[in-house]
Amino acid sequence: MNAIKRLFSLFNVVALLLLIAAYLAYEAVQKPPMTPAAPQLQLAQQRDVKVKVYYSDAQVQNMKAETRTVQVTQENPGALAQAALNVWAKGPSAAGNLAVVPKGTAAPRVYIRGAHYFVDLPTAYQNLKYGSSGERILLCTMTRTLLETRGEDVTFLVNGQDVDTLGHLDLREAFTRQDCADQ
Amino acid sequence: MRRTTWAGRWQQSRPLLLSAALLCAGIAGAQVALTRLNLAGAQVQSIGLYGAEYASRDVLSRLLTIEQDGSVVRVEGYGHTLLLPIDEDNQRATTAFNTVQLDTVRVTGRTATLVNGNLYLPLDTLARGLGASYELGNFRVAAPNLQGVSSRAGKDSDRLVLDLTRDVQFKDELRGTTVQITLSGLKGEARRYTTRGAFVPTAEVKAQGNDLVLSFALPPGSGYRVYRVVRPGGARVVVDAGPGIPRNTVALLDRISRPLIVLDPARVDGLGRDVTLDVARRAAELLAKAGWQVKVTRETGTALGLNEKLTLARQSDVFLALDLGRFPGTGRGGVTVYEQTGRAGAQIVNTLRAGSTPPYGSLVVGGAGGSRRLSELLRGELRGGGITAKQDSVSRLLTLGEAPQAALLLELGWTGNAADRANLGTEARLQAMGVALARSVATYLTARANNASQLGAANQGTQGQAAQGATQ
Repeated sequence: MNAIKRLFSLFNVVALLLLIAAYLAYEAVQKPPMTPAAPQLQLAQQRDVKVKVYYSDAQVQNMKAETRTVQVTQENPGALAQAALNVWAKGPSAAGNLAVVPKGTAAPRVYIRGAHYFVDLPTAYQNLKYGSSGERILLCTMTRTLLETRGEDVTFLVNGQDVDTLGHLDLREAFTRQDCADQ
Repeated sequence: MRRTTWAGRWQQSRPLLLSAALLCAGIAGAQVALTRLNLAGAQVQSIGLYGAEYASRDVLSRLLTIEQDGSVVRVEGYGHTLLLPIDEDNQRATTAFNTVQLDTVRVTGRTATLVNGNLYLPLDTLARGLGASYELGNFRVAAPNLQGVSSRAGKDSDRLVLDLTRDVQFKDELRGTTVQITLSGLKGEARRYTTRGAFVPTAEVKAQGNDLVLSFALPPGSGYRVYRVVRPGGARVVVDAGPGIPRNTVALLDRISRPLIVLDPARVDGLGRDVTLDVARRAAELLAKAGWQVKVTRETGTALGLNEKLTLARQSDVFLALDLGRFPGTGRGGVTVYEQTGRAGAQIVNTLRAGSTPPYGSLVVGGAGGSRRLSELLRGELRGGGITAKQDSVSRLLTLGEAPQAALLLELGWTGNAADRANLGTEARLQAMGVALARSVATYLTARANNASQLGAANQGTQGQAAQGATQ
């Protein structure tokens, strides 16, 4: 009886509890960490926005506007401008209007700084070899497309560089609405 | 009471009567008599002074410029300058013991004097110095008439001499290549004179309102000068012209007499023949033959760089870009003349176009009207050659934007149009375009020369010979 009493002494009981706690702690530490679950990707919702895009008329004299629907995820000026130029490069949908660049030509990149647009034309645009009037239509359809809703002017670059001319046209200063008014 | 009144009145009027008596005594002492004078057709008052007739400065100022400089009077009129000393001794002034200067000659004669503090001048001395005729009570100035034109041929200049009855005001100006000398108020026979000179073979005298105008063509590289020679019996206007006379005209006027025409044919491949260059050459040849200064920005194998081309554009009086329309998918055809709109490249051009035009400003920067006139002329000439050209405007063309004067883009046709390609392959079409270009430019520059030379004069101009040659 005494032996059992000595076996369950206060010291032994506390020591046993500590031993059990230490074992449990050891087991808990040795467990491998939980693999985090990958976040579930959700495609941003694309919205349809109507933009006005300009093309040439059949006589290469005037610019004709078409209202086109573009899909953008964010309805900010930069995204809208780029989407508009993408549609511009793909060509018109209305009969009678002329595409300004040959099919398959890459659309220029467009950047916005405040009220100013900067359009970076691919090098291929320098080799289009339109006449003077055609070159004006080329740049002015872009200018009017971009300045349709906002902005003051459009500066054209070629392959990221400032250039003086594109064919016969003066690129040294930005194009404004006035430069591209209907004749 | 009554005696007091009379005495009072006598006391009051005594200074006035004394003054009158002294004046009468003075005039009587000076032998002054009031007389009437017919002064170049106007009745005026003169005085007789010791037997000589004098007129006051106020009276003579109607005809002459009279200035008193200390003790000398300077009289200017009819091309003469007289210097008369003022002798306050009236009697001595009327004698021939005074020395007066008539133009460059010093002679003895009556001189100016003061009567009651007023300046009086002797009419006989004035008539002698001014080449007028005078007899007592009548001072006549000869009517300004052209008596004749003579010439002398020189080695490096020719001389024209106009003999006039008296000196008149004149002004000379260079209008294009024509010298015009306008002689104010001169009468004479309008006729054409032929000289034996190599530089001024002919001269023409024409009446223009109340004036007479002498005009002659100035040869290229020549200068001219006009001066008067005043003689006692009349005056001469002498004109020297020729390469031996240094040019003294405003350098800007060279833009009228020798304007620069720049033709800028665009390079268009794939047509088999260089159509734009062909038309430019034809026009340049015609213009150069007629004496115009023409530059073409490229030749078959060579072309000016962009900076050289822009320099020429900035110097040009007429800039014509020649191009062919190219655009994928269009069926457009025909000839189009484009005028540039919008701002120019240079600030000075924009400022001068927007503000008031300073003298000769139109020779530095032409307005949009110049391009419009040239466009109309070009389309008219093309129509005359059987080519219908449309009119349109264009913006932001680099070379046209740099040209301060008239500048156009002529689109000769469209490469995508079969009819245009066929037309541009024919000699007749290219020749018609070249001729239309040359004629319209020559006509435009001739008219511009006439207008520009009227900056300083309200009269009408005449056409320059070189311009006439080109337009003919």
